[in-house]
Amino acid sequence: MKITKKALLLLATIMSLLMLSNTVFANDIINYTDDETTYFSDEISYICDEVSYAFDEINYIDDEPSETEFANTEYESIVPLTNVTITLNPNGGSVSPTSILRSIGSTFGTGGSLPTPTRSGRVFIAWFDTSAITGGTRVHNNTIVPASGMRTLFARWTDPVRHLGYWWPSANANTTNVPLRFSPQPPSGWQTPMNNAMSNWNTRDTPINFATNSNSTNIVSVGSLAATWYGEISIFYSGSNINEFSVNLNSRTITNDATNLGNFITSVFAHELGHAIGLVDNPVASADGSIMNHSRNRNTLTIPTAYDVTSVNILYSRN
Amino acid sequence: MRKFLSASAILICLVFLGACSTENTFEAESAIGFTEAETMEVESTIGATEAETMIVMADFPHYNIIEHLATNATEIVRVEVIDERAEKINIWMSPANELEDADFGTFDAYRIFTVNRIRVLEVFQGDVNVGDVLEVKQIGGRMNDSVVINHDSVPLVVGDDLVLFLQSYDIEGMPACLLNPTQSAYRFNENAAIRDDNTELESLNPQNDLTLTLNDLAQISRNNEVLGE
Repeated sequence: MKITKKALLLLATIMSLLMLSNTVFANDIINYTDDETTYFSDEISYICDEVSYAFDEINYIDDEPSETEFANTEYESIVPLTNVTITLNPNGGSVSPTSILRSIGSTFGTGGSLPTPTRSGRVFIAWFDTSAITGGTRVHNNTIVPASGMRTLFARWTDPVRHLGYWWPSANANTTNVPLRFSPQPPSGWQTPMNNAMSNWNTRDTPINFATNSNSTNIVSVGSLAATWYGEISIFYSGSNINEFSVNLNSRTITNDATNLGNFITSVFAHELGHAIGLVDNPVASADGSIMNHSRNRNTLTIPTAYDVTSVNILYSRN
Repeated sequence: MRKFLSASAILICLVFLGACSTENTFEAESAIGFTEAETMEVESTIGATEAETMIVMADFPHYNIIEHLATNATEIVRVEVIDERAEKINIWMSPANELEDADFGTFDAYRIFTVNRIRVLEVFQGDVNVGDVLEVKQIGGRMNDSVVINHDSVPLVVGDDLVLFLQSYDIEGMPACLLNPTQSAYRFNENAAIRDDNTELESLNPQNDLTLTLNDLAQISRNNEVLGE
């Protein structure tokens, strides 16, 4: 330890004060037991350690480290570090921004939803804490930013062509007309939400166009059925072509379970229409990430998602 | 003269060969065309055959926790699978109210199902008894010339010891249904007879995101005892 004049002066002052204090303490402990005397000794020892520590501090200040020494010194912050940078790795795709600032303990969606990356010919599933194609932890907007880990999120992609292997032949590359006929007419109050399901597909950027046609052999019906499903579709196919389908919505289960009947009907019919153009069920996407997911909220999700649109466009060769 | 005859003969042969060659080329082109036509007919025939195949898919409810699955089941039972058959069943039910009502005059509610008979071994929920024989149907199956493919159904193999979450119907002879094909069928492993409360039952569907333990089943039984079932 290097002792400077300034340090010695400070030490002398402290020691003087300490001796004065000890005198007072010594007078006070005359009647104390042995244990308490030991305790007092420990206290003195502790105070001496404190003096030694203060001495080191003085020496440190007096030495005044060079700029280089200062720069190389590691300090432990006494204020918790709350803001962290999250790097977004699009994993073969592209994303903007490529990093975001988030606070530990808040959610990843606080301050703005996680961005959706894009990648040609692939469909984004979700952000994960690993670049592996399986496993790891899915990171949602409501996932809490942990104290450590999850500083880089990786986009996970999937083969978008989640389809039957059958589709509607098209005479026009830009439009694929899919006719259908309601038979018998749906119960009162069902027609409008079912029409909405068709519109929700037609207004998305796909070649698909559903339209009613009184001569169509593609039949849509509503009935109270002794089955647990909400909707069901039967598809006749040959080769890679869909020839005909029939859809049934189960009014019994839908009426029992819906909290928003209109939306529920639209969601179920839009799901079956997805099957009608060649999509399969999609358990890979997040719950509300696809109209083809069984765990979606049917009371709110009524419009085919970006995932569904991409799948259809690849199936019908627009991407 | 001999030279003239030879030359004539050669010339005639060349003309003949030339004529034959031209005709052969024509026949060959026709033959190619004919072959293509035959191929198209064959394709049409194949198409007609494949058109008899039908694929069926359904949008089933999904349950986030076992408690919700249990709440929606009319029966939760451990069973042994007895046998299997395919049957065309009319699944139409009388609508409960006008919201479900429609004109069913032309509505075809017949579907081909695979039906399993099951014998009840243990009752966790529902108004059935040990030893009862129930029926469970899943859409899809093969009947005569009709093949209905359903990739979502789970195979209930004869002899299997299973725990099933069922929905039954108050219609004479109507088989029950699994609540859904993903979360409603589990293999009961009798070898895990230690019956550790946290012993997990293996789902028949690998896409199942729920975990069913023996403790869950015990809890369901206790809940129903409290409710007086």
